Amino acid sequence: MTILSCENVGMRYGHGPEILRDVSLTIEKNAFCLLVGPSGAGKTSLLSLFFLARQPSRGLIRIFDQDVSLLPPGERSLLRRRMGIVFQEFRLISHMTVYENIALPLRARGERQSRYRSDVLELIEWVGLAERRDAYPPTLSGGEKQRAAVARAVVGGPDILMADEPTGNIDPENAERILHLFAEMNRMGTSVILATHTPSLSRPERAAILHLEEGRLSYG
Amino acid sequence: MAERSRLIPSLAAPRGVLGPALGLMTFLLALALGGALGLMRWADLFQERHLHGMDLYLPLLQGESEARMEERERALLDFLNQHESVAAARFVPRETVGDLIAPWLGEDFDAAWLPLPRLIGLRLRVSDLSLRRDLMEEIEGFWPGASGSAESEMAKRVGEARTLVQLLSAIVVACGLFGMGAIVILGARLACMAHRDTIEILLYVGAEEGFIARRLQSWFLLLIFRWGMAGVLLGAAALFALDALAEKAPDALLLLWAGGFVLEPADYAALLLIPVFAALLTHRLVRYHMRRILNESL
Repeated sequence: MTILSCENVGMRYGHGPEILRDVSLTIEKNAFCLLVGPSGAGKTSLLSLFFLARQPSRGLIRIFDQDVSLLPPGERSLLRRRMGIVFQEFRLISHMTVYENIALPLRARGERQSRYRSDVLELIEWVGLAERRDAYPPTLSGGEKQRAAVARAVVGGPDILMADEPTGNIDPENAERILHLFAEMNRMGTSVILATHTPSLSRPERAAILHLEEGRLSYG
Repeated sequence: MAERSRLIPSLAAPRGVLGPALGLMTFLLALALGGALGLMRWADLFQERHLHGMDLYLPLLQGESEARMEERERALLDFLNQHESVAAARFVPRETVGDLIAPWLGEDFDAAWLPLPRLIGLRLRVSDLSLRRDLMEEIEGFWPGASGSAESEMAKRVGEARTLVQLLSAIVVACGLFGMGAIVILGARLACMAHRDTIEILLYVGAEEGFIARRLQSWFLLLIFRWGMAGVLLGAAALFALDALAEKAPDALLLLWAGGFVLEPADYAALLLIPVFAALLTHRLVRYHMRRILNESL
């Protein structure tokens, strides 16, 4: 089953040059993809197309068998609920505690706290933030923010998980834990796309490597 | 564990400015609206007093005894009070005329020595104002030499003044509403911009636009009601003080307002419409601005 596909996708910011050129790829269910490339290659831009933050300037993107260019706003939010996103700059909401940030996707879906609270607490413990669950993001270290962002991305049990440099700011031990979490989720059926400029990080054996350089995608 | 916090904080950048700005605008708008209502009421009362009123001067008739004159005066008053064009007619006390001219005649003035004309204050029916000339002819027939005060010119001026007051009031209120609207529009835009990151994150984690808009709206409505009510209450207090001052200081600068600048409870209640107006405007605007900002950023 195809989770995500794109054909000849191009993207530019405003009237600037194309950041992505003729990108075509298919991500099947349960796939684990590593999107590697140097800084400025277009990894973040490509992910932003996938989580519907931007529109391609050309080409076709289908997610869960739906042409995203034809989606009304209401459908977009439903589609996003099946995705988990870890932003490069974390993007935690600073006036909310770690617990509230992590529970945000569930709250945004209208779920009741009584139903999700124990799951969220368990996840917080798993990512090693149990002591910091009532802390606010500005008081967290880079690694703690990263783990909170990862926990927020996976709390809703997404069908596809997209992470932009998810291990960039954390120590090797915590990076290993995060990657283990991704691998575990992948084993349970979640497709994973990790964007990184360090292809050496540990990954599942069957992980596909996609090279992105100067906006062009090639398979490794 | 902390309780569930609001999704929209209270607030980021515009917090320090937006609330007080809204409060100030509401205060000014309350003053403008209350002042305009007071002015309108004053203009109405002033017009009521002068536009439809007329002083009737009855000269002394040569060779008639005082008793006969008094009899004729009463007969004229009865005639006037039964006349269909006259709403009310009454004698103006002689002292009034004496008081009126005394300052020009000095301390030795004795009103009793002066052959003062008898004065009758007339109030005419609005619908019969055009019959004023016919009425004067009838009065002339009844009392030779009787003359009416030049009320028509006064009426014209009062009418013009009233129109001017109405126009000024409308301009003041329009400016106030425009200012309030501008603050609300700017505030809604600023608030949405300040929350841009939160809005985007909520969107990315699967929140629907309506869900986010409702929270922004409720946050903004709370802000408007809090500061708007404060502004209205302050404005009402200022108007109340002005009202009281106008009553207590009739000889002061507020002479014209005395007895005219009266705000009824209904007028004060009308001031409450200001935050309601702002809230309704905001309700419509927030979602629009949120969409606009999202379209710009996404």
